[in-house]
Amino acid sequence: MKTEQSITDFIDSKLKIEPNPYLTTQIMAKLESMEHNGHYKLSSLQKTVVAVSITIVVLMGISFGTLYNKEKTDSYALNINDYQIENLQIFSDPLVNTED
Amino acid sequence: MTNPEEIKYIISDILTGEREKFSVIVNLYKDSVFRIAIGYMHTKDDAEDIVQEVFIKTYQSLSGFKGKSEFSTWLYRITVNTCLNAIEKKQRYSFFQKAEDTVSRIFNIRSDEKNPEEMLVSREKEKAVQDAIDSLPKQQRTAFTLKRYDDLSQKEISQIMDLSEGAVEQLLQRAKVNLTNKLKK
Repeated sequence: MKTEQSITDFIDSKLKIEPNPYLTTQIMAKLESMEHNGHYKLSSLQKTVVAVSITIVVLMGISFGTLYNKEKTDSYALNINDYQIENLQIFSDPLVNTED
Repeated sequence: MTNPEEIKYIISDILTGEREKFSVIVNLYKDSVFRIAIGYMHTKDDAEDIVQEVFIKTYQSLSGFKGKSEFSTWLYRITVNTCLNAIEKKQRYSFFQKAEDTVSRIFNIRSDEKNPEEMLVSREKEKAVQDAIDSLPKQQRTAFTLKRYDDLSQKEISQIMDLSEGAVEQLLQRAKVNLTNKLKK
């Protein structure tokens, strides 16, 4: 009996609480702002598409990064046109006649 | 309260673009939804959050209401599910919540109250009842809340919970026994 009374008292005390009188206005304002902001939820398919796209972009970045290979730059490809450069042998070899 | 036919007309008006008519539905049911929400959540702020969430969900899924059951049954189902989800979310942060509750209880004992000791005892009693209700199994709690906070009939509760009236009766009996046993300890 006593426990039943304490439960009833507890419920009565909670039922005395009244909601905010502006609750309807708040709800309507929230609905309006949601419509103005184009509030929408992403569907699970959209979420999956976004996740897959990000993964593809990351993987493409990694694969493009690994395409560059230092070893592939062949030394013979460096072809310097040196016909105008003085022959260093003229200055270093005493046997070479430098006089005209 | 507006009859089911009127509700159907209001809903079809809302769906054809007269959004402001949704306020009629909010005004009709906000008190009932608030009572159920306070039965689950126990505080005004939490209950008001639930009321907002329920009506936003209802508005968003209004086109999905086929009229097979009464609008109120459908709305109360949304309310019950929203409350149960909110409780689950809340339980994830239960440690912080308990700490917050303790601090707020300490600061809520005002010096101008006549008998602080009596106040403390009654707060402890309230807390014991609240904990006992919170510890009920989901279905017992739902049946108990709908019955005691919104004074719904067993038939209405059985429609909301999609159970037979006999099953609801049993749930209410078990809830009563469980609460009594927990409060006797």
